[in-house]
Amino acid sequence: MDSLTRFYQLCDPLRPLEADEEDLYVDWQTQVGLDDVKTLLSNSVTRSTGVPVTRLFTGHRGTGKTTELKRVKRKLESGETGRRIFVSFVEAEESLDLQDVAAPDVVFLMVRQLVSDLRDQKFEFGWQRFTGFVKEFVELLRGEVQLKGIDIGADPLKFSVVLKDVPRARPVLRSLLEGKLPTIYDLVNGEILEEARGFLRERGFDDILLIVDQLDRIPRKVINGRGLTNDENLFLDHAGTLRALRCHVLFTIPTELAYSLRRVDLQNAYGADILALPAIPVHDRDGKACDPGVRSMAEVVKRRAQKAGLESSQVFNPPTLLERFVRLSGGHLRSLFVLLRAALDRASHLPITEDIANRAIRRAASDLALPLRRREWEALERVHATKAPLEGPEEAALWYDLLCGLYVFAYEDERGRWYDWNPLLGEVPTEDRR
Amino acid sequence: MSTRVATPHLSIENQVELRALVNMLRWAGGFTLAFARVNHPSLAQRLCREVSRLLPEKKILTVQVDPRSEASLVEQLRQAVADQKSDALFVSGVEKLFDLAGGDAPQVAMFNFNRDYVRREFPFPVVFLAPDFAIREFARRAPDCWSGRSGVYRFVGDEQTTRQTLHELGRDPIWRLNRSERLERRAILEDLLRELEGSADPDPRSLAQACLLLGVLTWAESEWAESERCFERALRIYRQLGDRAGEAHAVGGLGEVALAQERYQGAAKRFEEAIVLYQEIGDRTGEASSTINLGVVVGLQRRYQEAADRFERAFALCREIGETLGQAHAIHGLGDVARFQSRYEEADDRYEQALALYRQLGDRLGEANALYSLGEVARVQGRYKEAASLYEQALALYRQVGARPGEANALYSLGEVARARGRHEEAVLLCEQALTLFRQVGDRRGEAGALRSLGELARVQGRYEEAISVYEQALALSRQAGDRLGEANTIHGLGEIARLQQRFGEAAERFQQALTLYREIGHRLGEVNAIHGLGEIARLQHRFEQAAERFKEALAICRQIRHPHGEANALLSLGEVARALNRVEEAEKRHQDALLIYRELGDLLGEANAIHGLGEVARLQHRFEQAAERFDQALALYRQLGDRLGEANATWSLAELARLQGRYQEAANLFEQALPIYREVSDRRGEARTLLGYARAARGMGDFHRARAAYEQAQRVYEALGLTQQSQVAAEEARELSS
Repeated sequence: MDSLTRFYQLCDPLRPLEADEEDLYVDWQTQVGLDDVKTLLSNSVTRSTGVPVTRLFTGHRGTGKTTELKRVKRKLESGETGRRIFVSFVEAEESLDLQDVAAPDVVFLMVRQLVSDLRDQKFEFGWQRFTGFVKEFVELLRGEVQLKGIDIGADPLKFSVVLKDVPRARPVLRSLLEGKLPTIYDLVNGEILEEARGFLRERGFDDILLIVDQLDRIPRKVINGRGLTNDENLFLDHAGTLRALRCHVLFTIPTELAYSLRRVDLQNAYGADILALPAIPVHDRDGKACDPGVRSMAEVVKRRAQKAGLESSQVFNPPTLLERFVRLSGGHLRSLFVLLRAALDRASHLPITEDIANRAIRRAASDLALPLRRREWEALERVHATKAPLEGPEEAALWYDLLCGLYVFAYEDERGRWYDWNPLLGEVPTEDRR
Repeated sequence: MSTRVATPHLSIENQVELRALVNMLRWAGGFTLAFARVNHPSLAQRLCREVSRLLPEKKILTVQVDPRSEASLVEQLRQAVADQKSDALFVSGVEKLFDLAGGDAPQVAMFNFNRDYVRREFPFPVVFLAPDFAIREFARRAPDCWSGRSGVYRFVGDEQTTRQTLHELGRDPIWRLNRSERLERRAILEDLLRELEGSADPDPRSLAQACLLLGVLTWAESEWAESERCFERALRIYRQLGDRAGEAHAVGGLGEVALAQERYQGAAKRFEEAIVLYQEIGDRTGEASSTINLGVVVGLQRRYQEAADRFERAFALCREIGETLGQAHAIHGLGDVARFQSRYEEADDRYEQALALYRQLGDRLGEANALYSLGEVARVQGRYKEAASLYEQALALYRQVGARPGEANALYSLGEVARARGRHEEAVLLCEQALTLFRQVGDRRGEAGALRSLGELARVQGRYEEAISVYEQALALSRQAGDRLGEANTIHGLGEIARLQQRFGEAAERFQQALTLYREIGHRLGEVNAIHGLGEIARLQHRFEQAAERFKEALAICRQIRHPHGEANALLSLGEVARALNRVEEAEKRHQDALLIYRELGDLLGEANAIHGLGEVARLQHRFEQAAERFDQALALYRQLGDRLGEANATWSLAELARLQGRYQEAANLFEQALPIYREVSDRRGEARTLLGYARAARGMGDFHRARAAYEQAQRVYEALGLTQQSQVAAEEARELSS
């Protein structure tokens, strides 16, 4: 494979890094001088004294959340922070239909993953009570008329398949689950977790953490006539259910919820502020370039170029083009890769020249702006001018769309959180902003 | 590594984009999401071929998305790939998964979620070939996926391709498309126009055609201003090109827009222009179509003979060239002309003929219109059940086709039928539905009409203040819209309320105002109604001679304009006056004359009313048996019609008859029958006088307890209606009981 192809493949906007890809990972948070989200997360877990911690984690899609979480898992399991924590990692999308998620589903998934991971550790305990319960539950399910014809199986692992793939079974399964939740909690908290902690302590683990990733992908839906949305319903109304397991838990939540008017309610419900992976600050509130941020992002690209056997100057001619791309990405990794690919496509061979860069940028800006209409443009220009979010309740849906579509990014500096439009939008000529 | 792109048929622009696309396909490893913007189906096919040609070593699969398949989008892709080793997947037709009429696109949303699964299943580039609007929708509905796109490649059509695409888009007649399809086409056309305008040397013919098509589509969405703009632009270009056919189409389109906005004079001019143009180029289909449109306009201007002539001419033309749809339209038009002139049997015949033709052709909109018209005839003749059934059939079809104006009209008419049958709750519901739709569609005349109906419903239920408020809304609307007929009708309605509230002076003023307006706009039917109203006022004020004069005036006009309906109504009113003056022979004659006409017209309601009136005459003459016979007849007719108010009235008359003959128990029973019906139709006056009658009957039976209770109730209702005189009568009679 030649260098260009390799480089092209390394700039894949859809692939998060694995925790062991050390050569490509850039710890930009420490470089920029921000509180490192990994450290914050790990600390809050390791420093907890007996009381289980539930944290919420958010960040725009494509900022590297999953990468960070995988590194958190590694960090905690390695004991870097002083204590070794056993981490179970749940990928919600695999087993849940994110368009229709309820609290019992999530809890069930968490329990399932935990049990499975413990079993992998060769954790054998008196499974009798658990299996006994499972058998009972299965019988209950089999007795349900509406579930006739659906293969439940005796394996609790199978339930989740049904939950995901058989929508019509959900209401029944859920109501049964909900009914059994107290029993499940008792079993898990009282028996499994107790024994598991003991078992794990013998292997050097001090505590247990469950990471539930991909819940940030839940699309917002209004579920009743009073404007209640599914994500609010899950994370706020059912916070109690989500927090009932007596171990540390980390949930990813959608940015749109985390940056909405309900964020204070969320902080109250979970007893801590929401941790966010912001976009890399490549410019500050006044629009000036933020060198550490720009450098970090450039570093990301340079490392990938290196891995492909290329020097930065071989890729960008003049080399300042890289900075230009970085600044136009707004500090958002995925956007940067999309930009790079657009340029590479049109270059046919390296290096990327100014001319090609210009064309690619113009085109990318136009693509980004495809779905935008007058109303969105007006709001975006406002956000860009004020660096503040849209606060009016009548603009809640619009704000949601802007966050969701990556038209605005969230940043953090010493003054706190601030927002700005995707810089690429500035490249769209004013007469095209219809 | 260079790629010599030797494609003699693709434009330079497209070649550049193609090269970029090919680069991506060469370099990408693993799942990669890309979009190829192609507004032209034929171009999409060519691209797939070109790519395969340029990358012979790659196995590229193509998939056409089937929107009707049960399998999800992901499933369909997987089935297409099956076990083959592929290097890329080109997906066409994803635009069909978007329902622009406001629905969700669950398939695409699912694609958004199954991302990790998709990456595993399709470890190669997946390219969606779709028009602009589909890519926009994708970005909106699958933002996760979109944000990870690897490229958007934009291909433009050349002259030939564009012409082909436009041809495809214009192939289906507009009425065959449902709303989603119409919106989809509109989106594509707007994208096409932008594409054309963005190119260096746009083909004027394509521009004009796109504008023409867009004009039709926006007209279908009731966006008149936009539609007019499109047609005018097309007209300008066609004139520059010296393309008479295109010019004729554009002029015709402008006529349609003017017609929809009720600018009849302007519309007529345009259609006449179009006819001349079509004749010049020998396009008889176009000529026929414009002739029909002209007939419609002229008919709406009440120039009936002229309208009939136009329709006949159009029919003959269509017959000659074997154009069946045009024949159907022409026949329908002739049906309208007959209906406006109260020639109901002929109207029915014509409509049935048209209906058969529309069905034969599978023209659902035409079918709906014909059914609706048949409903109108049935309604005017009091055949309510039939009318309702016809309107419902029409409604279902209008909904299928997504014709909102038709839907609104059908709902409105169903409301009118319900109202005539005394089903008030149903009527209100239907009217409100119609109102919402009229508002959505921007039909202020329809909106005002629906408001008027709601006002009338409130009026009949005795909620006079509410009625006045609603009428005033309608009035403001009509004035805003410059709808003088609506204005007159509303003022007339306000006059009716004033009359019911015994504010005779004001009522007469209103009717006079309405009369002046009707005369100004030359609306003779309205004139008749207003004169009638004035006659009623006179009658209520016991100025019987003056009343008779008014009714005679109305009668004369009805005879002049050959409006048998109005003639019969006037005769009936003259009969009532004669009754009041105790001129029983004259009364009998008038009623009989009216009855004759109603029977000829097949107007069952009128017949029932006339027979009921004859019953009253008989009663006056103390021919009680005959009176009872007649009331029974009327009652049977009212029941047949499902006219609850009429039923209540006839029952009441029988009750009064019995009471006057001293058959108190029978009377009480009958009053008891009538009372719930009056309550059902919320006719409080009827309720009041029934209670009064019942009280009297009870008194006659010596049941003073019941009598007193009934007197009290009657009193209360009269008070609530503001009818103090009647209330006092009830009170006095009640007092007499105690003495």
